[in-house]
Amino acid sequence: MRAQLVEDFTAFVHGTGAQLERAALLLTGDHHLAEDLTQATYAKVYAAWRRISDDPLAYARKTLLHTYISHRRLRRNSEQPVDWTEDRPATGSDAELRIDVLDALATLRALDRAVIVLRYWEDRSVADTAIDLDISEDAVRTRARRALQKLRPILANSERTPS
Amino acid sequence: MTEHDRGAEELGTLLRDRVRDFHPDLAALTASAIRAGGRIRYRRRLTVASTTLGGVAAAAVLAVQLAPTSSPSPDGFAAAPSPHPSTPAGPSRCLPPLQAQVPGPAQVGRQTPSPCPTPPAAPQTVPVTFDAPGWTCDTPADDKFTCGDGASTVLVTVRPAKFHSDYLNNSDKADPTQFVSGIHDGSFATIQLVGGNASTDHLAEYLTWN
Repeated sequence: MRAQLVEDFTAFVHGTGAQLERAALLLTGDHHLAEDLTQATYAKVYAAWRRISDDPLAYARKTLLHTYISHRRLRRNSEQPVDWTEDRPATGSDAELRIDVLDALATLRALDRAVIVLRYWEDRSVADTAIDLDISEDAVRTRARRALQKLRPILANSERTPS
Repeated sequence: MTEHDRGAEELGTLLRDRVRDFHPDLAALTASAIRAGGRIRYRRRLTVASTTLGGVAAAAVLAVQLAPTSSPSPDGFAAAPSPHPSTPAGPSRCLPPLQAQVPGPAQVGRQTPSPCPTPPAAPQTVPVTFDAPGWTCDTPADDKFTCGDGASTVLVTVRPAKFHSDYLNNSDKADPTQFVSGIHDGSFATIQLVGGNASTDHLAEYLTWN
């Protein structure tokens, strides 16, 4: 019975691991934190496997998001997001202008970043994003609009970045 | 196409480009997740086992404490008074209302103590708080309170530890969508989904014992 569980779980991780760890990278902005977050998520999925086997991906996605948000909530008093729109000069060499999209995401609050990742990377609908994050659809629209407004100057800079 | 749509499309492209070359080690990820997940399951089983043992021990202690006062002596004589009575003798001695109204066999013929005065009503409190961002909770009543965020509603209930194993194992009470906490100072809490799609397991992270 355990062998079957391990086999099913292994297949699940191999089918979804890349997607989840990439989402974790976009959320955390750091490879090591992304690995930790993904591992913690899959550990919880494995522990709950028998009762979530009907839709483990939904459970894994929610676990990833909530683990990330609660982790950020614990650290938010000691960390302030970097405001690239204010701190970075608008002029300079190409190298200075090149801003990594992960750095741009770091200017957002945790929940806004999660909305951006779900809506524009995973192409989740407003309704699905609202369910994943346990917030209202209006909140998803508002946060997405606000985050895009904040990212727009940074995206404009990256457009001028040589590839 | 609006400016918002263009920005969203452009951002989506940037995000996909950024992580396209990121390939995690899935074999290592699987192995570490199974190890860590196995530890989580082991701790859960340990909690259930210790809770069951604790409940049995508590019931045994309670039975021993109640035995001399609730049952008559088998040889027909009244039980000898304890050299160290648990309640002080004297005019201030009182009984809880039920015992005062229905005297037991050993109390017939004796002076019946007066019932305890009813304590003043105090605002109800529960030993847990729920502080999830975007969620608001009602005032606790009968050891329970509801919380909601506009989309989902959950019922948080504090229960005596003796029912803990029922809520984990009994098919009548164990609900797959319901979160059951560990035991804290003789109580445990359940989070039951009343409406919406919130995950009670995730919401449990915002449950704090006072």
